[in-house]
Amino acid sequence: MTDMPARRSQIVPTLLFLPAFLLLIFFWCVPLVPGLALALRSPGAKGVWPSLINYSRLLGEQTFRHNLLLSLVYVVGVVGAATPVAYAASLLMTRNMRGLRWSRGLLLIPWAVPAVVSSLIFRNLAGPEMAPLTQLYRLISGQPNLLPLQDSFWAMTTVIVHSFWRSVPVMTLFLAAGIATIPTEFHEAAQTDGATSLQRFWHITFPLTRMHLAVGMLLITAFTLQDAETVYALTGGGPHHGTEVAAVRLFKEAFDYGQFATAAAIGSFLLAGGLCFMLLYLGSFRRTEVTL
Amino acid sequence: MLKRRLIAVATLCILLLGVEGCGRKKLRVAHIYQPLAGPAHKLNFRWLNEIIRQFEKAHPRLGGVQMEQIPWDKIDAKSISDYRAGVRHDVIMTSPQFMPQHWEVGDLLDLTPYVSRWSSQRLDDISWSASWRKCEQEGVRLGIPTGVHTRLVIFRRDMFGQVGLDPENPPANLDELVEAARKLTRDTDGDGKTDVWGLGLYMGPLRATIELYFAPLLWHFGGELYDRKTERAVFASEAGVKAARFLDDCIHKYKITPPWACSGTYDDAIQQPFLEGRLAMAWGWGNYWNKLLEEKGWIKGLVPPTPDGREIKVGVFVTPTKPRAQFTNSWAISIHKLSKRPRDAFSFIETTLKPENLEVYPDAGVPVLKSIWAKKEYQNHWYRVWRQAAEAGRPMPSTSHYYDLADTVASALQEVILKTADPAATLKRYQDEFNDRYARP
Repeated sequence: MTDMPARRSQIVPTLLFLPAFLLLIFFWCVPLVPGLALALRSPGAKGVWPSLINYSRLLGEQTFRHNLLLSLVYVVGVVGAATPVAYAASLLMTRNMRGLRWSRGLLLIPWAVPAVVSSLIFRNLAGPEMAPLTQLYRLISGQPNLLPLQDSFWAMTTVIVHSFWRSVPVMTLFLAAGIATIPTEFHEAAQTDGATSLQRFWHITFPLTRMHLAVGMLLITAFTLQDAETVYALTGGGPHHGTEVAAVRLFKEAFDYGQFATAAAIGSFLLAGGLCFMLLYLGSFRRTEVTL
Repeated sequence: MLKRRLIAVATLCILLLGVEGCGRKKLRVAHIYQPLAGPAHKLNFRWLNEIIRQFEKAHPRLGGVQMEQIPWDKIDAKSISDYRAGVRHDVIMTSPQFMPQHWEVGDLLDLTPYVSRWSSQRLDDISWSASWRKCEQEGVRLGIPTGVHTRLVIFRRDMFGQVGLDPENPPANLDELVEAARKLTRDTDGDGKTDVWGLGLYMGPLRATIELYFAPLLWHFGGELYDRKTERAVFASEAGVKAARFLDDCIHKYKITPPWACSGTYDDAIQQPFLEGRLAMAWGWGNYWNKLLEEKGWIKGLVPPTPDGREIKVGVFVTPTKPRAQFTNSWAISIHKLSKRPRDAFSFIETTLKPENLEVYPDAGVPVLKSIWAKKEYQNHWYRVWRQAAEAGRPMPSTSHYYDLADTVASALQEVILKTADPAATLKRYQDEFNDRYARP
């Protein structure tokens, strides 16, 4: 009996929240449900519904398993490389130094360049002639005749380097926003207690920007996981499926081969992958505690 | 005062929109020419504008034409996906290779009722090419070719002379081709690196790989891409293995083809290096690039054709594969199934197909009408070779999974060449994966 007023007090906010929640579900489900339903249609003009044939065929296919593996490599490569660089850039950006206003603007250029245009630029940078990336790869690999876009490993490296270049600005903005919210007193107190820069980063900056980091990583993961246009423009998925990530495969199935049901099935794999990453990031960063 | 003015402007806008809405809707013509994409596109775009001008002048009451630009390698897929999504076009450019897929989906209108009204003389004039046959599926005409795209081996006459080869007697078979290419592959500045490659080929991720290199060689060695009933892919045959080995050997064994032939675009591997003098011979030279030769002064009076046309610095010869082991295609013109004005759309097609328009169509390749070939401008060595190749051309197999087939073959070839994989096992693995997916039971 004593709980009744408390319960009543919860009903009103819930009801107020309900329209927004329903709207969110509606906008989520409207594109999602037909897509998932399409994935359950067997190929051909008289396709059977529901059928799991698209999923079973894809999972049984060596090429598709390779596509999924490449998607994972792509995401881990881009997020893994962009995060430390973005942290360093954001720490620099939030300091009061001369000329930083200009550099903040310049930092956003990679993000502002259209993805296909930057892909084509990178394709030339890794071209067969005296291209700078090609020269660098030749130096690193010790292969004087290396043609990066004809070698699966180096072609995938170029794809990752390109997305890394594009992702750093966004991640930096998120982290810089997080760092800007940390009261300066925290750092001053730690400094008075004799904490080093690394200790201050590890015990103050990192814990207090963990949610910004999670959101930034999630955003980059979503972009990378869905990224078909830049990979397609840079390598076309080649050589011999060497850079054909799942999103490129989806694009080819839908727009080159006209196999929309298969493309929808690949889309649901990507959706599941995105959800896994989301749970992983949010779960990992929630556990961290601030120790001042 | 300001309020009144705003109301007046808004009323005027509404009236104008109303007049536009009530007026007859424009005929929607989907094409592939982007005027900012280079000189070739610009020329074709100008040609199309002239067709539209003629059509609008001849049919002033039809409401005009609205152009829709779609990338060349996506226009067939766009026609299909738009049909499925209920998006209408009237006239649309199509590729004969994709006619089986269009037929399966049903996104193109049957043109037979219109074409059947043509005289037998007119039909005879246009129906000689492989593309004409490919545009008909099970007795239903889905498109009309507007030219003939065929590819040859182009060579530098001056370089032939420099290494003691006779430009009047170019290679006639694959052995002679390899031999000539070996002589032509040279390190001209003595730095230990090859500066001029004997033979340009392309084995990248685009359709050109199957169409211009693998399929002609496969046909040459007696193989086929598909079985006779078009039920299963059979490219991993002994002939397929020979074709893959030959292409691999050109790079690794004979060292006559640049190693960068497996990446980038068809233009990157053939057109640009040939024009820059880095290739002495280029297999797969398309007739749609001939204008560039004329601009460089390497041929004179041949594009557009004149009675005095002659070869100056370059010559051409038919790909030295067996007769009928060459590929041809073209751009075709079709009517989208969702068109609400098929008659008007066909009137537009008729304007396009006027001989005087086809003759000056820059992207035609070579003329699609026999009557044009009879003109004296075409009675020279250059056009005789192009015609020979066009007449010997074959289309791609009638499969609705052509795009995937092209990708599969390109990937298999790249694995053979770049990873030095066993050709027989690699082709078989790719063929099995393709058949697991698409073979008819």
